[in-house]
Amino acid sequence: MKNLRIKSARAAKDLSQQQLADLVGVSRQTINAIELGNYNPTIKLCLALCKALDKTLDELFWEDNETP
Amino acid sequence: MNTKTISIICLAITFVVVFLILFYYAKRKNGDLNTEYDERQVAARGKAYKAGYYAMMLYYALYFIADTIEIEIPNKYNATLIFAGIAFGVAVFTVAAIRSDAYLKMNESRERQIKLIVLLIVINGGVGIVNIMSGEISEILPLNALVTLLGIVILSAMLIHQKKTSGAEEDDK
Repeated sequence: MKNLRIKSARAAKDLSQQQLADLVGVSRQTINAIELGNYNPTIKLCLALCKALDKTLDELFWEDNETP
Repeated sequence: MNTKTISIICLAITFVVVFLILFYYAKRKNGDLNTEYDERQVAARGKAYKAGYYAMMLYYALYFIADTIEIEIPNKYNATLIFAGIAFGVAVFTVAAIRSDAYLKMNESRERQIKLIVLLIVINGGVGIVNIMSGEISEILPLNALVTLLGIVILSAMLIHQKKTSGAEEDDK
């Protein structure tokens, strides 16, 4: 499933994928894979993304429709 | 010392010098950058290793089946065919890693790696061509051809992947 929230948070901060990748210490392809839903990041990377985008884990990664 | 021993020593020295030059060339530009694999790349490389390992095992299974049912293989090709299993595994691993963007480390220059592979192909191919032209065909010529072929496979995979992903490099903001 695509993670559009990361993409929109990144766009709100006017960051390119490469710039965000540099901020969190991964490759541009990894950011691309996360946004496309092709890769599930570790909690460590999730936290780094949250800090870089000034968002909480819930705001970027919580899926409401998956709650029981 | 006879001529053969001197030739072997010269070859070994040449190999070490060429290796050190290539190593320095590869490291020089990327030395100050963060050239590590990220977590996705490590996972992707793990899958690629697995694919390469199974490809190699499959090759050797087929090789030993061929040997068991006594398919005639000329002795001079034995070493090449055994080495081909390793080369096949390496090729599968490399292509799988390239497809997953996990072959090059972060910030590693793709152009630099392509130049290095081209150089290795030219050196290997050149040695082979010189050997053929000299008229005295060496026993390791098939091995030399195999390494050249491996280089061509890796180079092709890198160029195809580069062409496929060139549009994605300029992502939207």
